[in-house]
Amino acid sequence: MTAPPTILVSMSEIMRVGPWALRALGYPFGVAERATPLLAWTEAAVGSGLALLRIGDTALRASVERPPAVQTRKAAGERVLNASGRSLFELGPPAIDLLTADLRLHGAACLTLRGAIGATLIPSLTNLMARRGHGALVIHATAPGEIAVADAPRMGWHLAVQTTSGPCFLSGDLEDGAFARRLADASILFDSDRLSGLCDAMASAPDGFIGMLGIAAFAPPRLIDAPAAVDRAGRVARAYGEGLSVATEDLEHLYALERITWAPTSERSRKQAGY
Amino acid sequence: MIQTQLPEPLRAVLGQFAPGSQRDAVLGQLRPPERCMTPAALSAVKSSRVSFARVLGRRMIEQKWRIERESFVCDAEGDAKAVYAITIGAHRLTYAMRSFQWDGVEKVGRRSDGAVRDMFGAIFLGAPSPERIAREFETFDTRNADIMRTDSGVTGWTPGSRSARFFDHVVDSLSAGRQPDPEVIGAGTGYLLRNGGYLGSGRNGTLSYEGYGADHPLRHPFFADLFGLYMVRQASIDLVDGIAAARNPNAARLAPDLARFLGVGNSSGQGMCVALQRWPHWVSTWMTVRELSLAYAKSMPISALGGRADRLVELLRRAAAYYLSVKVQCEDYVAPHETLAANLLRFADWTETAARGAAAGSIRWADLVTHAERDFDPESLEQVHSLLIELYPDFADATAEYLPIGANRHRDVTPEMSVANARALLRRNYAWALKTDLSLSKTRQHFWYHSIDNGEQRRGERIIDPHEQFESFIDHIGVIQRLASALACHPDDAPVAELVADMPEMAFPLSRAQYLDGLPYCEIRGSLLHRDFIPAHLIRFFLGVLGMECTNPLSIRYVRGVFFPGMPLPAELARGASEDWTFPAPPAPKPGDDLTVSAPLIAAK
Repeated sequence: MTAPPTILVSMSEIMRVGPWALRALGYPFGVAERATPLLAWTEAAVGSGLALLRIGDTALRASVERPPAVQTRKAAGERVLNASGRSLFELGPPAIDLLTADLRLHGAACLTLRGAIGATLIPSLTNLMARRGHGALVIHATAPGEIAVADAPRMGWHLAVQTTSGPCFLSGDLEDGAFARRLADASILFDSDRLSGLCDAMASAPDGFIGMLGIAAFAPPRLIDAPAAVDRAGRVARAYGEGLSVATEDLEHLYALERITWAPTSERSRKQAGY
Repeated sequence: MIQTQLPEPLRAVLGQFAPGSQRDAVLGQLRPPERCMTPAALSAVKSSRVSFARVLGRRMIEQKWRIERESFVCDAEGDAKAVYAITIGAHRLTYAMRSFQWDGVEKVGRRSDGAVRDMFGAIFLGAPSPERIAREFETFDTRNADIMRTDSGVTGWTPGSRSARFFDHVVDSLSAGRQPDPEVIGAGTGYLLRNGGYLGSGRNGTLSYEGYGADHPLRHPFFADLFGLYMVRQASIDLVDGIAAARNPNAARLAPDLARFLGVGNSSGQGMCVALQRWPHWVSTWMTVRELSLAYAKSMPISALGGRADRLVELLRRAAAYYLSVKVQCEDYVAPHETLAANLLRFADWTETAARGAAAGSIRWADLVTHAERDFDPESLEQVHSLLIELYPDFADATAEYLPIGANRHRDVTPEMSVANARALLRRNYAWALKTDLSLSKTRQHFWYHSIDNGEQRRGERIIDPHEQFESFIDHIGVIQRLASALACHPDDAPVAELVADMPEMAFPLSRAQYLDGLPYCEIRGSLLHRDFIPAHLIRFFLGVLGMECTNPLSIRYVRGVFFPGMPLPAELARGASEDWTFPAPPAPKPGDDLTVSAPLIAAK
């Protein structure tokens, strides 16, 4: 199969155009503004961020029309957020806010997010926790109607933890049997009861399940050399310095979305330009 | 209130320069935001020593940036290609310039012009191969904004357009073997090419700001943009020489005094106002640096003549002469240059009188400024302020070190903050916004949008104009009021994360209020949606902060002016130049002066 044509794009370009593209899909300004760093980071660190917009165009537009999310506080540091089919562009950062707040206020945080689409963005959510000086473990299973942008496991896990050398990111397939071993490698103190609870909950109703645990503790620096470690921070730094090679059709779609937000011109409009 | 809000790096500067009780004297001179943060007040801000172009210019002079023309090919109609090598210590840049044959159409330099410009330039990192430069020229030659792309080896593009009348006057004069008339050049604000934006920071695939190395000389807010402007200015000088030489082998070369008098024009529109609303910590940084520098100067005693008083008198007179020598296109929305000049000369007289008096040491600059506040228009007053900042260069330069630091503030929600504390935060910092009545139709009459004409920012009227659903964010007062309403619906002890989970779009005003808490001068005290808001006010402010002189609105939505008039030429930078280059006097050309030539101007065959 012939690889699609590619084109170089810069990180700042995605950051500049992204908010408008997301607004064209129906997100309000405040959501689009916050979601754009997820989009750019995902493209740089994981790949397929822009493809998510192109391939998921219809699904994302539909997600904006879904009922509002509903949150339930089950106990101190334990919550459920029912996304009702909305996307992680919209509900991912608020979920991380809840996780962060509980971690900082209660010392422990566990959040179940159900029915959200856009799982490609999950690593970028763990990065949000890392930027705040914390860590997160996320386990997830594909939602019905999920946007398929790349070869992703049906059930996966992502871990971001702080080390004295900076944040470290690990990820893997929950079904390859190595999950427990990787966590043991990580030498991180989890709330094992809550992790078990999340795993059980996912096993009983896996569709569209995303379970999150907040992590306050630092992990040893050697984790960066672990088999499942991905140098996501390095990828992002290189993307800022060198740009990113993306599928031309993905970049064209990004700009096509932006142009939807541009108003038609007219003599009256041109007069409002000022000169 | 201001006293406790200085960011730590500026508190340290203040502690170093103003120990003990002097510190309080400086802080006592800081203006409250309600006086200096309204759109009208901001409109009067003039470029100063802490403006970005001045900071860059100082660095170029101190570090002796070397700018050498490696090649230059030009025909009699202005079709030209040039390559410049730039050496800054161990760093190398390359500027490639492509000028197009004049098509007889003066472009206003709007974003809607797209790629229809008279010239394009590219600043490369390092020394690209001739093949790579040729590819960039091919890209420029498409003159099609929809397909023009580059890569992260390029920091940005510098589109430019001719100031036709003055460009032609200079070329015609040189072709005829004589120098152009300085008065004619001054009548055009003193420039040949007008820049129309800097396409960098990721635009068209250019390098992202974060992609510069930590020690790169352009890793500073607006340095790449402004250095691009400086190179457009140099290209304009070489172009008129090159075209004249192509027309007449015996043509004159532009005299250095005239070349130095020239700046580079710029025109800017409403998009700048949107940027100010998106990045309020930038506004805070710029204004805090400026206001603190001014407060320090105002707190100092007026010395006897022979010291700083003499220096101020010289600057005031020089500025007055400059304003009188430069004619702007339109004075409908600004203080006339004659008024500015007259007031500056009055302040010079006051200064001399005060400095001669027996009690000179007991009078502070603030005392003279009080007279100016009473007698002058806001623009004259702000020009005096800018010159006062110049009097204490060490302090101003130390505060200017904060410009990149303050711009690097990360915005995020603090999700564990309680709803009660968030409400208190709004009451503390946004009482003025919460009290603004937005219920009248005139208070929200306008919305701003991007046009299909290359995304140009325009202003529409609600109900009447289409595309309101995609309005640009400018309504900082409205979002704060909506946040206040949302907070009222949540329990006091709940973390704000719960509010954000219910209303994800509220993360924007919430994070705005949280990350700006403790920063002075961050919010513009006025609504950009209001029927009576004049966009040119904030455009002029932004341009003044960047370092533009003679910010001149041609309408309420469009501002022109000039950067770098008087800035040393490349050969002078290499030799070692004075940093005291602002407000140049119109030159009287001296035959035989010749600077800047490091490669012969080559006429195209």
